[in-house]
Amino acid sequence: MTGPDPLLLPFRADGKVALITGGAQGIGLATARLLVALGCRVILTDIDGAAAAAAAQEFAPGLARGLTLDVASEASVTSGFETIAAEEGQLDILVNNAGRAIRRPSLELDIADWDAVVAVNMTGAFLCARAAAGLMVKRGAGGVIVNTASIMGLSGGGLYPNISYQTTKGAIVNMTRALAVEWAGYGIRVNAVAPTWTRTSFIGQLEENPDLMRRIREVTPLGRLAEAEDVAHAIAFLASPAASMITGHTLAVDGGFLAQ
Amino acid sequence: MNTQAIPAGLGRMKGKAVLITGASNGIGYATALLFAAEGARLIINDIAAERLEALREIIAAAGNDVQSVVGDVSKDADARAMVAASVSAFGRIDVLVANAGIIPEFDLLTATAADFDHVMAVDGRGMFLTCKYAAEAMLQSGGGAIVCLSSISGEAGQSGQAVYGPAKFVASGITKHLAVELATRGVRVNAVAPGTIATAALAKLSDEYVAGVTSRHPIGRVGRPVEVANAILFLASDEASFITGVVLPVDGGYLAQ
Repeated sequence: MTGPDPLLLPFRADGKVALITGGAQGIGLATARLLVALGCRVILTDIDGAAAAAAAQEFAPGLARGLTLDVASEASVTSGFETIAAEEGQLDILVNNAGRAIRRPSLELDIADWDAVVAVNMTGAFLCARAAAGLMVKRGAGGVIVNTASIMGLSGGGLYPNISYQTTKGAIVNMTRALAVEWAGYGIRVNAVAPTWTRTSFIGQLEENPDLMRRIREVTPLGRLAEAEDVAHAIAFLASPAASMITGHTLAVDGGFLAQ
Repeated sequence: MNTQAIPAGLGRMKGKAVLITGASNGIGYATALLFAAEGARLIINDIAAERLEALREIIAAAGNDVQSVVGDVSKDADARAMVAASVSAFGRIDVLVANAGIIPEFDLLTATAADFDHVMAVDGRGMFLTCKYAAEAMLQSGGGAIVCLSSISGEAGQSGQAVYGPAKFVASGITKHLAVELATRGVRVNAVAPGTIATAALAKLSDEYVAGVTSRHPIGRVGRPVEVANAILFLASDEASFITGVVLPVDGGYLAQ
């Protein structure tokens, strides 16, 4: 062997193209910053195309672009990924990050609210995974998908009712396993992260409740909330060649919550 | 892998004092080379003195601070001595990779009480002892990270692993318990759970067993030691500073089935 094993530079992703749904803020944007630092070009998608375009502005020219994408709409996903195929020519990494929560007691939850969460968190993740894998299989160079589950997809023990979120995030855990097995033969790895409460606008209203914040710290062995960067590092690891033998796994980024 | 030269890494373990047990071959060997490339100061341990010395020479030639400690993790005095070597040489221990272990193939009816005790002593008690003394030293210097070697056999039932399998459940279990016990004191504890990896230990298992288990990895191949080392590096690094108590499979999808 003439040079060092390329896996010894494990966390680089030079020349890769990554699409991050819900990429305009929070964990999605933190992931984009990290992937760009590791050598990727990124496509930030958001249902609010202007927000995605604005987020892309912070990156050097040519390294990031915004794209309007409603993950819950099959037509929007089809059209968005056709655009990527035509204009980028490759897609190596999908970060299925878009999500929403409607936190209500189950007995009071309208079916419309249930459907809205299912549409984004579960159906949306599948539509994007299917579209991304379609491009990856066609190109024949494999790829990586990183889904966003949650500790609430692996635990019934929330601090407040959030049934549609917990149900759909549980679905992501098993969708991750099943797609990993189904697509392994194409060289496509499928993993997920399971963050705990993470300090982003996604939990904005919750942060206004100091008692709840105290209880979250109490139930988290490491005693704090996650930062978006904590989760981004795990996503970047799973997306990188360093994780080349890892597929079908949901990696907790939870300060020990699930180990209890 | 090019084992005769260590390339420059990204400095992810720069200056960290790291103890790797069972370093003379396989996953431990690959991890030692990777951590050396990433700038670690190393204590490498094994019971195989000659192979360990050969590794020490390779790492020392690359300019890393490295010492070897021959010893058996299942012996209390030896486990203490490995950790003490790090504290003595570097003033601290930042990372323990609790990798030493044996992987015999026993089914329930052929395994004897002595077989069980031997495997549990190395894979179980050895992990307990090295974690115990490393954590004790880490608490003196403000914290650290431990990565234990579990296995797919420590997460799922298999045929023909009636002794090794339960021993690896010890690794997964101790990881979760110590993670919770030590979380507030700055010590993170995680594990990797490799699937079938191309090591010398694998070569000792029967062809029939290896062929069968390989075919059950969705990725369609066995793993390489460096692929496990990369996961260990991630969990040991500051990039995983909010990750504790996880058992991360490096198994080509084996456990997802």
